[in-house]
Amino acid sequence: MLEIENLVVSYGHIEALKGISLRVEAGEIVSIVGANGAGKTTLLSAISGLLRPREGDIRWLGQSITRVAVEALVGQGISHCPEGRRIFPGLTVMENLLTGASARPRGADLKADLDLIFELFPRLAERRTQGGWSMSGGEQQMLAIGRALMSKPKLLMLDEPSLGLAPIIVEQVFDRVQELNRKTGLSILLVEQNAAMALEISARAYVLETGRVTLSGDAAVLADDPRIQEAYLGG
Amino acid sequence: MKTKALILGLCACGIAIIPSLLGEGYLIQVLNLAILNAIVVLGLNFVTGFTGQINFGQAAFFGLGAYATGIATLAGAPWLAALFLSGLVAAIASLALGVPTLRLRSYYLAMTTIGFGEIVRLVLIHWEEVTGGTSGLRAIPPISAFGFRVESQMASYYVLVFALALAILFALRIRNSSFGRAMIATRDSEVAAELSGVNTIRVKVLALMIGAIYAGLAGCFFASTIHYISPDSFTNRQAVLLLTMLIIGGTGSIWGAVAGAIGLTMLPEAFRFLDQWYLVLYGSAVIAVISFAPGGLASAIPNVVTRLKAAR
Repeated sequence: MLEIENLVVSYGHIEALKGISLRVEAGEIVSIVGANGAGKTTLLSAISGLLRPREGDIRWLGQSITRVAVEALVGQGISHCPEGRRIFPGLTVMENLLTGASARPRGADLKADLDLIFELFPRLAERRTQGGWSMSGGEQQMLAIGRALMSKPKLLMLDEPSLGLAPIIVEQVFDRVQELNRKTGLSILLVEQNAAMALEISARAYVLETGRVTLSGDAAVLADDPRIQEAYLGG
Repeated sequence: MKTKALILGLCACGIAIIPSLLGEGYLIQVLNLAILNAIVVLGLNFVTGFTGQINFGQAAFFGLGAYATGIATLAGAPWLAALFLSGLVAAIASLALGVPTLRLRSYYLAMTTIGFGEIVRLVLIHWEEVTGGTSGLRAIPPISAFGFRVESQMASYYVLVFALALAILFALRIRNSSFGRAMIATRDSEVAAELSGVNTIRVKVLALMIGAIYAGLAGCFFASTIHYISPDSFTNRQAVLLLTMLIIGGTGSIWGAVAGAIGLTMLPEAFRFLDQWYLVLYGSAVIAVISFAPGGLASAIPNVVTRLKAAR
């Protein structure tokens, strides 16, 4: 579905990504793990069009998308749930969700999408008329994922969903992400510092270090790799 | 529900009898001015309140609308044509300003609109043969449409109240549409709005344009109810005052915008005995609102209400 070849992205003279290649197939959960500053967020921003690559190519369903506008790409089925959640505090929960459907055609039937989101996150259904500003961190993350699902994506990109959340909430969120993938066959590209959680729910994974892929492969195999254990799993 | 209807009915009666209490004269003219300011600030609320872009050009859009009507009706154009022209001129000016600057993030709109306000003022002063220069345009014909001529301030008041009601209804409708959500999303997080599929540049330009049309139409009503316009009414000082009305009333609140505009236009009359000390009071009041109720009066009132209820 998504193929990235030799991607180079730089901020001025500093290369954040130094030639990355990866792919995501239909129905897969693929995670990208790595330390702070490895280039994980840069990679997602380049895919969703927020940053333009200097070299290399990103192909989505066979077409190069490196020149497509951010909001147009959402309509083509790539949804990016940004780091730090970035929900809209001035809108209600329901309005946040409806805004996520901005790229859908006018008059599209959103009932099925809302039902799915409320089934995954019943908390959002309870709080649908409340302001976004009143949500706790975990609720905000659920809302951000729900909003990203409203565009009816074929690929969902999640950037650090565990950031700043209590361990028990992190577990809930990851459970829901896995459930979503199983139920709907949605492909998920997951960026995480919490490597243990990410590898647990993923089929495959890439390890990113200072802008390069240093290891990749089956998530279960990687989780047992001594280099990973030492560097990311604390032991 | 019943009490709500009752309150609405009482308000409507109050609004209807105000002119007969004030009588034809200076006070009703100030009230008319307050209603016009409310329409202009409601327009400003689209781009600044909902979309979060600072706009210092609202007074200039208001002025363009007023001069468009003044010049057109003095030349003999029908009033309705002048009304249309005023909205159109303001819309075109806003597109010329917004399309290049709103592609860029941050404060470019603020800087450009300050410059624009100054240019409009200078053109109004120096293009004497058309604008009348510093002495402005006099004896502008009154509102007249569908066989009615609205001559007195009292009659104008009812027309203006009707116009304000339409302006409020339209604003409420837009706020609850997908475009309303897109504006607030753009203000809250431009990146997240784009990632949700919102074309943020288009949203910002449209919000500026709708606001400019509000100001342009209000400008038309201003010219044809006050009958006299001069560059003094449309300076950058006035633009800052309009922003202050929005901030005091509550940025992003439709009722706040209306209350802020009417309050800040009427209050100087009530405190006229303070003379220049009024500015001291005014400055302190602005600082007080910003520090104690950053969301403006519209956010403070519900807080006070909940506190009173809790205290009971």
